[in-house]
Amino acid sequence: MGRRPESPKSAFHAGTPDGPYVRLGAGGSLAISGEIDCATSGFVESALVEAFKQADVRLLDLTGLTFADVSGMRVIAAAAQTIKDAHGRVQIRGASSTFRRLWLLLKLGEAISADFVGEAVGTGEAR
Amino acid sequence: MTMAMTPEAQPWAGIFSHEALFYAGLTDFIARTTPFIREGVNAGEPVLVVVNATKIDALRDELGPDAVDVRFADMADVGSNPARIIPAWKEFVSEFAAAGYPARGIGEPIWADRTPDELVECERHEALLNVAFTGGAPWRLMCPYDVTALDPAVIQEAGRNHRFLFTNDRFRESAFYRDADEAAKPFDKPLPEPKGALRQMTFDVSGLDGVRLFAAAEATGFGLDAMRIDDLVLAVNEIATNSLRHGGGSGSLRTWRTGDTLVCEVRDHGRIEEPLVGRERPVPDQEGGYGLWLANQLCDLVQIRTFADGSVVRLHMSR
Repeated sequence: MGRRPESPKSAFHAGTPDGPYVRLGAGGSLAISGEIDCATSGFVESALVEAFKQADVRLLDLTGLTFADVSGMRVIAAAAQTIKDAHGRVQIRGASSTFRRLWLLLKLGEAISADFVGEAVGTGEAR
Repeated sequence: MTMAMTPEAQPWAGIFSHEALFYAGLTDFIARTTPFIREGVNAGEPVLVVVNATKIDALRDELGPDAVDVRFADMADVGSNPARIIPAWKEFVSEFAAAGYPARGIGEPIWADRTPDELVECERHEALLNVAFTGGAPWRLMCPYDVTALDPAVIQEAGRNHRFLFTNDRFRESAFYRDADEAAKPFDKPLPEPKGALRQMTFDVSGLDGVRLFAAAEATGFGLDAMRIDDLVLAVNEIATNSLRHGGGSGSLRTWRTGDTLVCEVRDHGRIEEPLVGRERPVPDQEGGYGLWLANQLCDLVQIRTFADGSVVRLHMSR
């Protein structure tokens, strides 16, 4: 099932219906949704770079993120680091319990002390 | 050559001393390990003991006040998957021995209730300890083997994986010791072919989401709970990703059930040359090396084999 997204054309929303999606929202939030694996993490990385150019991002909204492998976690961690560097802290909203566990296993929290906000709902994995 | 020696000769000094202790039952275990622990405590050495909960309780009772100077960890937590044990010892050694402090540990990864698959991987773990620590900071690791409960073949294999053997009151160098260079060779011990129904698929770079869907359906049908389904799907995804990156760009996935365990096997045409792969925690900013390490953190057992025509990784998950 090929689902390589096209390059982002807009920082406000970039992605395809069956791939990962990056969207800027109100109040400096940046939503990342869908599934991120080694085939799509490059796209997400590019989309995030574009988003950071266009808005003062303060919060990552992962409510719609249904899967992230190690490459996806690293891309999201880099985004979190960018926010932390700019504002001293970063909030991650709607992260699944699986995402939070992987965050700990990869020791991403040692470098980026993110504030996880919102209930850890669902598992966040592909089905 | 087998060489009898007295402990006073201190053959372990200045090296990583991997020692097998052959004991007979719990009472003998306590009698034989307590002097080793006390010696370390009295010398001011850090001591870490990783055995089962029953033995921890018995050692605490025997050691009395000295127990406060000893770290204990339950092997069921640390090493149910034996590939997680070397990282735990590395953490301990890096904290103390690498700074020049002598250190000692007791670790019992092999017991009678281990499954045949677990036992093979535990013996591989024992061999890889020599790869992981030989030539590094000096420290002593005693691995107890219960001769009243274990198969004689297991005791024999212990003689190959430990440089020093401690039987009754005799401390000697093993005549059959398989050194670090030998242990570091690609692990090509054949894996038994599965019995019963198999499901399989092939994948390439365009099909990782299909791999996840396949693994999730198998895990759900097997009755794993939600968290373990997530863990298995993630682990399978990472191993399949390795196939795409290092294994020729494609691979195959097979699944089957054996008792209360679901096995997912990924095959590809790559070779895994690094003996400690999956047993070393990746450092931040490291580009690769996450897949097998993560699989070991997520799965009950991971079996890795490399043959002339490719590699096999089996992931075990019990319900």
